[in-house]
Amino acid sequence: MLEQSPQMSQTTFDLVRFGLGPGEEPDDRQRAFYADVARIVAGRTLRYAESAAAFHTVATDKALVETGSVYQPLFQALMELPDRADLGILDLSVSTQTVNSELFLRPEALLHLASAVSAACDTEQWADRTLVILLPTEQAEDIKLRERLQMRLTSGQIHLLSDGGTSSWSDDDVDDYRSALNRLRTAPIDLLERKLITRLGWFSPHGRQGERKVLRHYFDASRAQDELGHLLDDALGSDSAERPDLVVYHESVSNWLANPLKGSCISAGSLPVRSFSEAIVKAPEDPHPRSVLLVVAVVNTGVSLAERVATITAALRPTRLRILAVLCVGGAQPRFGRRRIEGDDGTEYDVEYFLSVEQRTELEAECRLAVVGETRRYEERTNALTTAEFWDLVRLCGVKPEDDVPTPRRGAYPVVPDVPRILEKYGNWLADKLWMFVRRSTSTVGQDILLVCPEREQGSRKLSNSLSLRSGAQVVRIPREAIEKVVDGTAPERVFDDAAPWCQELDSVATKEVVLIDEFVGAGDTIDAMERIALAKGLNVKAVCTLLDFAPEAAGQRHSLYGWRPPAPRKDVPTQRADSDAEAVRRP
Amino acid sequence: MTGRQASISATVYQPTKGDQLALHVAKLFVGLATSSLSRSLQDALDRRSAAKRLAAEDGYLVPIPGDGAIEPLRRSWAKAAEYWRSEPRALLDLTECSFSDVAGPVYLISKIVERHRLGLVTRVRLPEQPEMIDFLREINFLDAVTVASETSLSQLLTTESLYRLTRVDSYLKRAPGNSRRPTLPFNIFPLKVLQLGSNTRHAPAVRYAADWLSKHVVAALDRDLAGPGAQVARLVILETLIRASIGHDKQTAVVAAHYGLHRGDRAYLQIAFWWDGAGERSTRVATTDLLELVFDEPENVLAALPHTPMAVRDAWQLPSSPTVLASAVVDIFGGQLDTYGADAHLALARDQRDGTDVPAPTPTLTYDRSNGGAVLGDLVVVTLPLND
Repeated sequence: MLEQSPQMSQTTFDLVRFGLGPGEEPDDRQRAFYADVARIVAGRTLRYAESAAAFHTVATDKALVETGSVYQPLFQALMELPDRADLGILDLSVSTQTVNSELFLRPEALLHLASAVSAACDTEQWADRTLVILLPTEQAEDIKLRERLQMRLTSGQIHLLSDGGTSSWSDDDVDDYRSALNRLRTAPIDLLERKLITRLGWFSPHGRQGERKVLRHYFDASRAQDELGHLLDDALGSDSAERPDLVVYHESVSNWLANPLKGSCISAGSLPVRSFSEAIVKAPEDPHPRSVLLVVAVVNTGVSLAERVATITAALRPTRLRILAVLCVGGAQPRFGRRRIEGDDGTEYDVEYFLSVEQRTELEAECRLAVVGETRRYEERTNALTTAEFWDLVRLCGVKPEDDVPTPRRGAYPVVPDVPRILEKYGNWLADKLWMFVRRSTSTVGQDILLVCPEREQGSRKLSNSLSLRSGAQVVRIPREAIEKVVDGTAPERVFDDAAPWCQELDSVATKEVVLIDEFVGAGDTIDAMERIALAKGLNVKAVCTLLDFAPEAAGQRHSLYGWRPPAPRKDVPTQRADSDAEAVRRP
Repeated sequence: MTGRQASISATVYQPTKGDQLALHVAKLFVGLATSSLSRSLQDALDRRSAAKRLAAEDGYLVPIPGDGAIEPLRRSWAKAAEYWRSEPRALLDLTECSFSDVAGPVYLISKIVERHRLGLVTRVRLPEQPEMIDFLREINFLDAVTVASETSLSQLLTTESLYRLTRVDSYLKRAPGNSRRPTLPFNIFPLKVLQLGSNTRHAPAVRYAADWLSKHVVAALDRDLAGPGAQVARLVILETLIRASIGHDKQTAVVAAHYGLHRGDRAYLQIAFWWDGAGERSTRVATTDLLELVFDEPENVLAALPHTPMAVRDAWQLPSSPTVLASAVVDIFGGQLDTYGADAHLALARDQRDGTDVPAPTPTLTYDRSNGGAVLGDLVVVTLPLND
């Protein structure tokens, strides 16, 4: 630390309202993190000024090619930091998800960023201020960037903090910053749970044909391979007592385990790793492993696992065998639990697992549609739901009265599929399907996409959250009142409030392109109102996506996972008429 | 670090007579299409059993030598250049070919697409060895070549090859891996066709590069490369793809990587990029494009090339900065960067003469005018040594 630190008189801090892709109001976790950062740099607690200045953004896609395009918006954002803020935080960190990927800051763009920062810091406005720049690890270590900022880094006017937990200012800060990052980061187990896709269908167990029972869920953790890798890193352990001589994996029904596991074995100092069949075949040649770790993707009944354990024990004769499952059906603990399984000969084994999951088993005879899928290498084939898939979801998740109709313009449907419940259980799967469609219709990097959806009081936020997690796209929720006013005929311009976060976020879209999302379309009023709001903001609607569409004939460009026109609801009739319009059932 | 960054310097070029032609696109295909060559090619055909199976409708036959690595392939094309761009029908005979890298198959795709663009018909006869068909499948060659050349396998392959392809499933049942050391699964870097350019935006390039940022890939790269593994995605993959996109409205690119390519007693990570150079920039001098990949100020480098008057060359100072790509490949990873274009091959590597003990040996820039081994668009091959 310098002896005369300029920070002593500082009282408030604020965020530099600059970003790649649409601007986003920080959530509570991010706010707490920024307050931590300000405290670490200033040496005491600063007040968050929370200005509502406009965002200055540049489209990521543009910044990748025209690297100089970052200069102007950043300079402007720096100059518009409110007068009362003594410390500014420029967040370009991957940890906060303000930047989705360290790929987005090309080395050339960093130099333009440095130029804008230097230019702003030369102004009188910044004479007594400190700027903290949060950068991804490698970027913070960029030599050319440091050369450009050298004087200011030395004087303490600028601090660079990196996702790797390094600081350009003082080693004293490093530990504090690392713990702030740890508080901010979502635990890998949470992310595994939130990114795990549970597909509903009829799957024959382990691809064995002719079994009389079928599984209803197929678990796909391929979107969470990095998180799985972190969990496996911990499980492999640096503790020498825990460290196995050989790691064996089995992934009969999944193809998402081998890569993360191999990566973790490398990180753990090149632990030998074999697939199950390799381990058996090579057992005579391989050095005898004393301690073996068997990792499997999913444990269902435990019968096949017990068989495999017996095979491994016979072939390798380890003195110690530890069994680890990523997912386990019927575990008592939701996370990091143990389950005991029993082999044919009565031997019992303890299986450790990361996440407990729910499986359903049905008799194959129940599956009248004969759509038994292969559990092996299951891949999404369509970006819609088949009729069978949709009604299966309804059968399992039930129906409810429609209870969040925008305006009493039309009567509520007495019975609609329980979409919030469907999303609760299968939201990641459905979001994955919708994302396939969005990606096809925009070809924009996720960082640039703004998903616009209505703020639903009762309905879950699951769909937009899942989509956002899947794609890195940002979500803006338009308040109900604003939508209802527009549905009632108010001009969209009259519902705008320049200080409201949702308006600012819509204004910040540099690409001028948005995607509208709603989970359920009754008559299309809500989605039409959102479209008018977007148009009034000068935005192009690139795609309109919905899960269930009750007005498919009016859909136009709308993409729904399933569309079906039920008979019109009547206020005086409490239940649906029996002679429902079967012809209107539509397979998208 | 700073010293290493600026350490690229000029080496001695050996200009030959006639180098003045080097940059003229019109003279790219200085074929050796003399009658004596035709004769010798025909002789070569007669010696091959493959030639006997050549059906008349398959047209001009291009036999590919045993070694399907990029350099031997280019040499063999130097002889066939003129026919390749004019014969209405040609048969690319890979019967005796065995591939040892991915740059070779990527080069083959560029040659097949080249004929497709000219409206000429090309057929391919697959290698005799089942392992090679296996290899081509494993690296996704068959899918990539049909996508890039907008054709189908039944149009592209000879009837016999197509028939064999349906029967080679059994070849895929190979013995379980022999190494206990965890290596990168090869199949995560198969040939991939990407659409680049301003029309398609850059999501495909970013997505491809992001695969290289996966935790498990970075773990392996960190262990095996001389520099930080995460920088491969950012400074090598994305930089190349973005620089390839700049100024083009739309083009097709093929990317592939080979982890554990063996050359001599060392293993390498080889990454090959090819793009067709279609779109707006096709009229520009291809060498400038190549140099742009390597140097920030390509005009300066042009001034230094052998066909430039001596006075200019003497006055020439090496460009201030190599591009991020070039300095990453050479300075950070100690590898080699090869760029092939319509009329030139530029190789940038550390000078091995300095010996490996020298901490920052001087990189060398070599330039050779390719005779007919010309590439449609640009081919960039990055070769990074793996730690022992």
